[in-house]
Amino acid sequence: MSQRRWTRVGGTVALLEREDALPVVDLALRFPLGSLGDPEGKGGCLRLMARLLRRGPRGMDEAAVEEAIARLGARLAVGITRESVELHGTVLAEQAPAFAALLGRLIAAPAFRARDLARAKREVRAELADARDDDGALAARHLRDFAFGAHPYGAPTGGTQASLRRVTRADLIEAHARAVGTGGTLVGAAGPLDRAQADALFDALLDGVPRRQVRRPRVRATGQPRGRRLRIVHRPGRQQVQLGLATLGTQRRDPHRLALLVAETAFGGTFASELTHEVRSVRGWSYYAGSTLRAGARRELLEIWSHPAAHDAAACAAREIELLERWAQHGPRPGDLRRAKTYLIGSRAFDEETAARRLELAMLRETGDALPGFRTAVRRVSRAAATEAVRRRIQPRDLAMVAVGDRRQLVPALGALPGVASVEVVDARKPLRRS
Amino acid sequence: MAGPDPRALAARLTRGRPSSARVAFGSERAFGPCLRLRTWALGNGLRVLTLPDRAAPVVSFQTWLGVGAKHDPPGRSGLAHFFEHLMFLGTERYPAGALDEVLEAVGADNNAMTGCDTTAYVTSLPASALPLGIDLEADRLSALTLDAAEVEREREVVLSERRDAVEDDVAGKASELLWRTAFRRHPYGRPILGWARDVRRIAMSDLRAFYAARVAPSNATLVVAGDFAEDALLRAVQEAYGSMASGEPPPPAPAPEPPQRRERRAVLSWPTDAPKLQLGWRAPGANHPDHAALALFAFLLFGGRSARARQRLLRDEELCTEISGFLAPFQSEGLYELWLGLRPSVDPDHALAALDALLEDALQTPFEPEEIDKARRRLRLALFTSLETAEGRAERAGSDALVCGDPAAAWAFEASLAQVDERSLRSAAARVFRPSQRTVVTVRPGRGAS
Repeated sequence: MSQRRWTRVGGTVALLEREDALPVVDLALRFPLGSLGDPEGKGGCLRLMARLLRRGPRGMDEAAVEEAIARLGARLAVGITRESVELHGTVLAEQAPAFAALLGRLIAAPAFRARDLARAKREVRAELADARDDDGALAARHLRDFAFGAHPYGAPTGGTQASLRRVTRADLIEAHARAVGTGGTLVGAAGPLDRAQADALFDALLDGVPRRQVRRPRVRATGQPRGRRLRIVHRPGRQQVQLGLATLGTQRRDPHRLALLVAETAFGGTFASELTHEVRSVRGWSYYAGSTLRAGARRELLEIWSHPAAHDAAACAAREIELLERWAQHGPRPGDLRRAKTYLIGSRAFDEETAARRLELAMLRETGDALPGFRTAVRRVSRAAATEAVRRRIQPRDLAMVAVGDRRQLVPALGALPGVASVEVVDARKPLRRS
Repeated sequence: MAGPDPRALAARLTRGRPSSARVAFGSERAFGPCLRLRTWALGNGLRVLTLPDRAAPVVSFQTWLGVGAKHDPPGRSGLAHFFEHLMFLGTERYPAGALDEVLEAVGADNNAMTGCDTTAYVTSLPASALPLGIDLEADRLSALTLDAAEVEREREVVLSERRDAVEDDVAGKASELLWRTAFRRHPYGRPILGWARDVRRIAMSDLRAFYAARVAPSNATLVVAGDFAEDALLRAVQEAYGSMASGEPPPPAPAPEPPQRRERRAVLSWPTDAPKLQLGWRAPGANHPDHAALALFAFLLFGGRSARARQRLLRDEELCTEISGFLAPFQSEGLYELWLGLRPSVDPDHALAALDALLEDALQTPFEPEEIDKARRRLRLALFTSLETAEGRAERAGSDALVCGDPAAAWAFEASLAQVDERSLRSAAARVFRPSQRTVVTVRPGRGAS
């Protein structure tokens, strides 16, 4: 097992994770501009641009692209986050050079045909309608929208029905010009490769990518309205509730981030954590219960999720708020903290088990999403530091709460929770209002 | 990786031991290009599969039981799955909650899964914590407390899981209806999670009887993959499991479902804007010689972005938003499942007619050799990537051991992909993809749709 990092001409950072066990190569490419770079009122533009990369360059249509990928025995995922456009491909090692060359063609000069754009818009609109059948996805979308309001962090990366209508071919060309460049970009490979072989693959991948710095947009600080607010997303006849609670947490460069992560792992990050144990094991309320701590360039959310039966939703939410308040005031319990630390340190071995996973971790280190010296840093987190991090960053008085379920049961039950200052009800079938 | 001489090791470990703890070496064979798989058995019937690999300091320790949802007694559907949950409750030595606490304290993760044919308990540990994993697994195999109050709380968790996965989920609901319609007698027609009313009436006596009869060495296979020394592992297994009584023989296989002679249809009304189709063709079990040919055919039609169905139904005709097909490995005849998420304005009958035309064309027109090669490569890639981790390798070996009777069946499957030619591919497909052998569930927008 070996790892290498070097900077290529044009400012692209290259990463290689060598492993010879299987004849499989992973290729990853990350351009540092995501949906936060969408033009005003045109949410979903960068995602559409990324989607149209695999519709092919001039002289090669979508069917030909997909056939070529499949014939190489490869699979390709093209995705977008708020801060990046990402491509990840996996291929049988013997076909890796041809696969890299194909990806290079897709990236460098997409045709952005008008008919492909029109069809992609129709696909996305149908997918958005389809996604309304998924209560969990619906709840997650509403929670971000409700917590962040008009801030770009609240906007879905794929846009909305309204915003997608405004995206033109010229927007895609302009988005491609902004997102695709060598400077600030990460490229990585994992598999039975030496540096020369990896560099040859990267040459092919980046052959047509302009040597320019990709500029990231400035994003204003996130904030959250005061008080506890409740949004019911009405789904008549539902037997159980997708219940999400969120408050502002941390950001990537926060000095308290690691201590807060350890504290959050103790609170709701594992099966034995306080929240999960209480909601699932002690009360039997919900098959799933847990928390997630996100981090971005700006402060992101601490989220708490559970799926209680409608008749248990109020009791479950009340208990979750109690636990959150106690945690925010007193920090993690000593035993929970000890276990969280040893869990995070011990389980790191699985993040490093395969070359593909080590590559992913190395890329996250480059972006600041994963912390260098993780095990040592976690070992050093004291209870005082964890408690201080929670006290400084977590404010349970300011909570956004979203419940997807039947309003007839949920409005009276959840509206009576302590401190709830406002209740709004929206129809699950209606698209989000933001543009 | 070559380990110690297995026969000599078994003889050394057996010396002076009671019969239940004796170790017998079964076989050794290649597991892919780099690894060796060995099979062992204790005197009490416990089978052990070892797949050592020192590449990363992790190990997956799995217990596979030859009992699944198909063995649930009538009126007690969901019993095997419910019991899977209860295995995480307490024993005398590790009371409720302790299992998760001690495993997490060393950085380990654990989970379990119940299928139609089998149940598996999966623990992934840092290599140094393997003795703890063995101790915990052996303890709950033999000394589960089954406290009534804890059982009741877990019953609520199981019902919550069912509401999540079925009652409030259109795909889960449609799948349940599909299997119930396709299998009228064979227990594959009953849901793994169980009918809610059955789950409510599973009694403590049912649970105790299940534990005594089904959760025992005679019905268990341990699969260990990753960074460990074989002799130390077998010694620890001997210590932990060697004194256990064998248990009852594995349950008999249920009688097969009679052949299906006509297409079956069912309709599900659901509050959705977008109709859906869920189809299932009666398909042979994982051990059947047609399995590789069917996997190739299904991939060519439904398996990836270049698949014919995706190109035609999703891209050209814009009928669907989603197409996914699935040929799960079953011990006996199961279903090839296909899910079509349709666009809001599409008539399901029109989509079904388009699918039929596509299938007809595929069964009549020969595939180009390059097209078959394409599917072969993608299936090989999927196989390789599923075996990258110790957990993935153990899971595949355990499942294949119980379902196919061969823990290295993954590699036999890979070899058989190369043997499939155009003719055998189409003839295998023609035996399965017939309207008379399929069940169709149509999800139509019902109350609450906009």
